[in-house]
Amino acid sequence: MGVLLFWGFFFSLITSDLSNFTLESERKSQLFSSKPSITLQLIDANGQNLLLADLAKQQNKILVTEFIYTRCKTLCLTLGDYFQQAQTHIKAQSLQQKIHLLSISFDVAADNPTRLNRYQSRMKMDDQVWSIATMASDADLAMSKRQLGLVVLADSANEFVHNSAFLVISPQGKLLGIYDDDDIQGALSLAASESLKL
Amino acid sequence: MNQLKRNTIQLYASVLFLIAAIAPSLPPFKYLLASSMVIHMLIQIPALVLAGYWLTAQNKPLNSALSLSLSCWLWILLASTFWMLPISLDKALISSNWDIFKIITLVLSGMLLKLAFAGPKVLSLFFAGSSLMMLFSVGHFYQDSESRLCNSYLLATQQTTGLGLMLLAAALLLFALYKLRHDIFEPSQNSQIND
Repeated sequence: MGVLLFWGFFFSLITSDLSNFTLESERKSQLFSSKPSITLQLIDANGQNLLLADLAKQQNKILVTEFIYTRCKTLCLTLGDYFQQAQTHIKAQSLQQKIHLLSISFDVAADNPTRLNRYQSRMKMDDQVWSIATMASDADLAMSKRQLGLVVLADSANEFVHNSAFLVISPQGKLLGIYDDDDIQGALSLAASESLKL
Repeated sequence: MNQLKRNTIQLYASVLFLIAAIAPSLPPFKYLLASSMVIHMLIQIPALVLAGYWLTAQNKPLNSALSLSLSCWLWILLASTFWMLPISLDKALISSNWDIFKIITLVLSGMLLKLAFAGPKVLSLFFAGSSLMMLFSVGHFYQDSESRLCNSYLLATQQTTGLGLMLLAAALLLFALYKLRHDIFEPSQNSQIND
């Protein structure tokens, strides 16, 4: 009996009462309940230095963001596809004034404004709807890892292996929600409903 | 005298083995654990259990009571299930508290193995069977999954680990069949002893 109680306790402790069996799902449910304010220093495609919160305020729109790096040939391509579809969707629903898409690169060393521009044209970004920026320094990457549970591992082929999510952020720079990388619809519908409150 | 000497050597050897099994959790060797899921799941975790088993191996098997052996089996089954969860592996890497918990529970599992097997054979068959079945299905799940289940490990090592777990389950099944061959294939002799 004691054995059952002992392990029952530790099973429910590590899986937060049998709801999270992977660290990634624990990360998302924790962020959903803590909703932290995000202070990230970014450099946009024009080489301008700005805070994520400032960008959100400038746009005065709900931000939907994803973390990528521009050289990426695997996961980020899928994420980019989703954002392209989202761009079409936003234009079709004429939500341009309410929702803004932002891709943030975590490749601090390699992604400079030139590369961001190249990515911009490759992905056919409409800068009224979708923009790209890179983290300003390693400190910002460390902050995202700590605060947002971003995972970036360098692999042997000089590529990055990373986790992925869609983050919905308020104009005040506060996290409103975080969604799995196959749930852009969830992120967009939260953004749409939050934008009504603006 | 000779027997005593052998026991001492065996004790020292198993303590050394235990230290070797714990080493990947210590700072200078921690990169080993972080670099590959194979080292974590297929080398360190089985080595901890084996170290626990060898620490108790020189004692004579106890004539275990049913309830004691049942508790031991439950402990082993639950501990092995626990350390097959992706979140447990990640947490053991990130937090040293969970890593210490891992070492203690797994070494203890190994130490309880002998006691568990000393119980009724039918219990051994049931629990060893279900543990191996689980080991195999978890291995298949890791090998087959398209997404990374552990945030700390690459997809390639996850798939290799999955394949390794399936092979380990198959090897252990053959070993268990070999060990229990008299009980399975010639039941008439043994049932008299058990009665």
